[in-house]
Amino acid sequence: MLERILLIVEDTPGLPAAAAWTLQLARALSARVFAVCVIPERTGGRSRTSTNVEERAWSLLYEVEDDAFAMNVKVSLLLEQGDPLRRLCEICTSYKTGLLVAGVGSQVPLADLVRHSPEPVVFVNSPKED
Amino acid sequence: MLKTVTELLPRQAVILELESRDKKEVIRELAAPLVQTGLVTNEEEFLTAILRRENLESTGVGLGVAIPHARTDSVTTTLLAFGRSGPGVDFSSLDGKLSHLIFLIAAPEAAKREYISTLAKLSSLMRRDEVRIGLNKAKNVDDVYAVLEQNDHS
Repeated sequence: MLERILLIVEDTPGLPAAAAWTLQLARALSARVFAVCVIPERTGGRSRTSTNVEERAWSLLYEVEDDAFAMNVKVSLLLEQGDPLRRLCEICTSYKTGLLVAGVGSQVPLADLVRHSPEPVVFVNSPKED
Repeated sequence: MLKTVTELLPRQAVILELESRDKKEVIRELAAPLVQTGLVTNEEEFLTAILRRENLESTGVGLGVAIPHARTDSVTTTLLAFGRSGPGVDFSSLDGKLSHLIFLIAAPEAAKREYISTLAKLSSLMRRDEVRIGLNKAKNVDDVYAVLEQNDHS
């Protein structure tokens, strides 16, 4: 049984659909969602821009958390820095997640994710606008 | 305009040495001064909302920090409390560490935007070494405010 699902949280138009799909699946399976946002490694010191990027990342994570709470789904939030592909694969392994979910417009190329992920990857398409 | 952290934090809601060691008791201890402000209309409902989230989420955000939080209509405005624990409290952080710096956040149901923004700002602030070190070293409430004001640029 799938007990842990990793959701990639990024500031993309695909996030709402990916998050909704993940939370519905998690609710159906009583699984825990690991909502993970990886900020690419910054060069140089902390700046106003990097603080804003970090705050935006936390906002996205807490939005997911709030939706999860409303659906009675267990969720853990992670904000990481580094190479997104590498960090995501490491988190899959260290938290023993069984499925990785990404939305449209992910900063990590689909082909790379599928090739390197230690677990199955689901890409969730956003509904087409009329 | 989003309020600063110190604007949301009543002075009486800063506890430099938490007495409790248990997560639920720490939440009660942090909630008590907020109740005294008169901005919490129903203490039991308020605590239930915070504890219900704790059952679903690990509000330990790592690095020795925990941010228990909830949206509930038992508060009339967004509020913060801050407490420090020398021995640390188990908030089930993913990094396995005990939490020494604990912020409690409560906001009315309708104030979702301010609630999320405050959580995000505080989480971001607390990842900064200088903020955690400053709060750990603070000798009094003024020191706590100074550290937060110095680093909160909203």
